Amino acid sequence: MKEAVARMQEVTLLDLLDRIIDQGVILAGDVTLSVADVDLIYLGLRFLVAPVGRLPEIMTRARPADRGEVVRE
Amino acid sequence: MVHAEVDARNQPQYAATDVVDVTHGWYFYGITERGSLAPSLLASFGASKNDRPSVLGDESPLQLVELFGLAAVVRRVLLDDFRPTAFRDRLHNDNGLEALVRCHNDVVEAIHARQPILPSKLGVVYANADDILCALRPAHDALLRRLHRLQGCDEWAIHLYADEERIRGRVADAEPAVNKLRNELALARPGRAYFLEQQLRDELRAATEQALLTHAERTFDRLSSFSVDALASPTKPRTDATEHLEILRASFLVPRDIIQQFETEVQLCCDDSEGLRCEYTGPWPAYSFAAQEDGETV
Repeated sequence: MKEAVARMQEVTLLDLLDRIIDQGVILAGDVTLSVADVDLIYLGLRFLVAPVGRLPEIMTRARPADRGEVVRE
Repeated sequence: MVHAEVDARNQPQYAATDVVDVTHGWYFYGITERGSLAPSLLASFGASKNDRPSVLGDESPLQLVELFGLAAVVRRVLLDDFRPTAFRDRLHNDNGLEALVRCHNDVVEAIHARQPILPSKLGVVYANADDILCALRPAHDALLRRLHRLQGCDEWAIHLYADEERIRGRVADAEPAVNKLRNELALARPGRAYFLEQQLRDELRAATEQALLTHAERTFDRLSSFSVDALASPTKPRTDATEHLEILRASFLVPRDIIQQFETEVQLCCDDSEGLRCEYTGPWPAYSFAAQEDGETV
C-alpha cells in the first residue's frame, strides 16, 4: 500500500469521477440553492455531464496503461 | 474566515456582506471538525497559480463557516461561473472536467490528510453563509458522529474482474446439471439434440452467472471483515484492458493501522487460477461514506 500512497498524486480519474459525482455528504439545504435567478448546477450536474459525451473519452484516456495512474494489480 | 458564532438566542452571526452579495456564492468542499485546521493550509489554496487558469475560483483562499463543533470548508466563487451554460462550456474545454474534479479533490484530500472530512460531491454552491448554517444546524450531531467514525480511516476502491470464458469452462466441468445435459446430448437424436443444446446453453449461462455472483459476494465479504464499512456499487458494462468482465465495484473504509492486512487479503482474493483479477485505488477521502447512514436523521 505504501507504493499506492506514494502514487496518490496520480489518482485514477475514473474512480475519482465515481466518487466526486455520485457520492458525498448531502445536507437538507442543498436542494434550495438558487439565488437571484441564477440557475445553479448542483442537481443537474450529473445530467449535464453525461450528454456532453465526455465520459467515454475520459474513461478511455484514464486507462492505467496509458496514463501510468494509480492502479495496482 | 466567515464567523458563525451562535448568540444567546441561538441565532448565527456572520458578516452581513455575505447576505447581500448576489454575485458571489460559496463553493462547498465538505465538513470537518471545527478549530483544528491551520490558517496557513486554508490560505495556501488561494496562492497564485500562474501555470494554469483558474478552476473553481481557486485564486481565493479557503474559508470556514463554523457552527458549534463543525466547520464547512468553502471558497468564494462567482455565481455566474456555475450557470449551466457557463459550466457546460468549461466541460467542453480540453481537460475541463478533469481539471474541475481534481481541483475539488485536491482540497478535500489536503484536509483528509490532516483530519477527517465529510467530502461534498462536485458542484455544490451555496448562495450565502446563512444557507450553509441552516443546512448544518439540524444535522450537526449526526455529522459529528459521522466524522468521528471516519477517524483514522481511508477509503479504498476495489474492482474485481473475471475472465468469463475461463470461469464458464470451469463451471462446465464442475456443474453436475451441465455434465448431465452434455451426456444426454451426446446420445440424443437430432430433434432432441436441438432442444438439449438450448437447455445446455441456458444451464451454462445460469451456472456461470451464479459462479460470478458467488465470487463477487465472497470477495466483498472477505474484504468487509477488514473494514469498518463497505459499499458495493452497481457494476457497469465495462471491461478492463484485457476485456475481462467487472463483477464487483466496491468501496471499503479501512483503518490505516490494518492497511497491510487489507492489502494481503486483496491479493488473496485476486486468484489468477480462478480467473479473477483485482485493481484497487486509494487512499481516498471517504467520499462513499459521507452520506447519511440508514435510519440516521440529518
